[in-house]
Amino acid sequence: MKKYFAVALGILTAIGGFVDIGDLVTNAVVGSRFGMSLAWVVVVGVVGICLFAQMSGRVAAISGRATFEIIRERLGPRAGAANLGASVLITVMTLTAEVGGVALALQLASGVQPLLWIPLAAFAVWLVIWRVKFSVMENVAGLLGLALVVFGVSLFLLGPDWGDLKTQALQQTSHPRETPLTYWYYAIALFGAAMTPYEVFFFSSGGVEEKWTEEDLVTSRANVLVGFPLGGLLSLCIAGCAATVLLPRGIDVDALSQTVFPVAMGAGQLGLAVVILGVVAATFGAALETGLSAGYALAQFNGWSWGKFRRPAEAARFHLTMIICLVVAVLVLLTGVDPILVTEYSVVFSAIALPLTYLPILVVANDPQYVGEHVNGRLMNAVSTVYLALILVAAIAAIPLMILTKAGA
Amino acid sequence: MPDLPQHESPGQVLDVELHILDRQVLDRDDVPIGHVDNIEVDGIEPGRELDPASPPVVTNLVLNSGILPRMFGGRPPASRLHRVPWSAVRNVGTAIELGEPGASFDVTWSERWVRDHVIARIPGGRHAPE
Repeated sequence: MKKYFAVALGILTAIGGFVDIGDLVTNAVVGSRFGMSLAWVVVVGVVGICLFAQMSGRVAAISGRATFEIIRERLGPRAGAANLGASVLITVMTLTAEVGGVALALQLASGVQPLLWIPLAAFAVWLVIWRVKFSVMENVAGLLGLALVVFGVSLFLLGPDWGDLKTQALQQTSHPRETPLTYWYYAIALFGAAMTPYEVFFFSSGGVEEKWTEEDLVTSRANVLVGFPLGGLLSLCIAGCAATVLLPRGIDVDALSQTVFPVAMGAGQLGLAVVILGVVAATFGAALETGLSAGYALAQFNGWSWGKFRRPAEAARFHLTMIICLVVAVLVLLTGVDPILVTEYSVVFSAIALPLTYLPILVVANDPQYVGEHVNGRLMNAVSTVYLALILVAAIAAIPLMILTKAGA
Repeated sequence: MPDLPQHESPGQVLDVELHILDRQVLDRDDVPIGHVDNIEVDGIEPGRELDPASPPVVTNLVLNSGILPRMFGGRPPASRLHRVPWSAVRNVGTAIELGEPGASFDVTWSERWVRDHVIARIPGGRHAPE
């Protein structure tokens, strides 16, 4: 019974934890501009993150080595340091976007300026990292994040033309108002939003934090293979809401209020209250994950003592790193930069940096010294190789597309 | 391990590049203390043939301080290197395990400094998370 409970809890937190500010913003933007025609990218991205998380989770459970220890070990100092630089930069960028997201959501709830919420939100994030146990932190944030299911409920209450949404999803062509270049630019953004590198740092380090062993592999696999696809479905509901309400009215998403507007229309005041709770929980949870991920990456690369299972004094440099990252995020946000803009860039840069972390994990998931008999099977390797090609193409195409489309304008 | 050259001497055959360099080093209590940036080998003199009877011996692991020379070449001053004697190594697996506490090695000084001057001074810093 206890085991089923653990699996159910893991799945629920995986759904709630899947959606972050990147998914919220990108899916709403895409839905409002391209309808459901990019739905296939979410599917591709979810399969990718399942593969990636499953491999790194397996490596962490059996060898006890988290992602960045492996990156350092396999890529050596030079390529490893370049990788670390890129990954930490993007993770701090995502952290900035998440803290900004918390502030924007609290603004929606209270009417108080986000600039006042930013330091408060960052301090709350630090306090949780400092004092709250890993499992409690993950479960509470994940379960509250489930409030975002209200996007699905609203979609039903809005009563869209399902046939029309389906045609859009199967058409896979850009909307008449858009060019093919912006279509492909947002395809990469959506891919990056679903396959954010920090999710993998966090997932594999979390495996070490919770002291996974071989026996936990089944649980972790269930969490990933059920939780993430359901999280992806939630992403599609966000896009569906935007496609139903915003697209016909020609409303562009450039603020969080437009993302949640369809929920207010479909599910009224109560729905709005629930969705704001969900957005706060999802962005706050993701801020915790990105903050920790920045600390994990730097500590593991340098071989420092790390982990929330230790007292802060026993992982001093790890905790100092996270404090510095949070301060940087707050300073960036206090310049008045738009968190939505930071989010839009962070998902594209995530796609660019993805090959750097994906390849070492793929190599080690085939190394018997690390995973013993649990090396990748043939099918797994075939699919992973296809994804490696896909990830490379997306990473290489991202910068030219960004320049050509003026970042999707 | 089939891909390594056969060796007559007993014990574990390790490839320095593959199994030692850039590996995580754990102290006696499984606390990470650093990565192997480089190694020091005794018994090699420039211009002299190696004597098969007394082969070179790995004397020290260099932790978290020899990475720049490995990337760019050159030699750092010997006093700046954080060494761990090979005799302290207890096991080499997916991490290198030592038989002594981390505090007995130089390489952990920055950890101790940050702990004593910053982290332990913030309220709750010495308490386990709840």
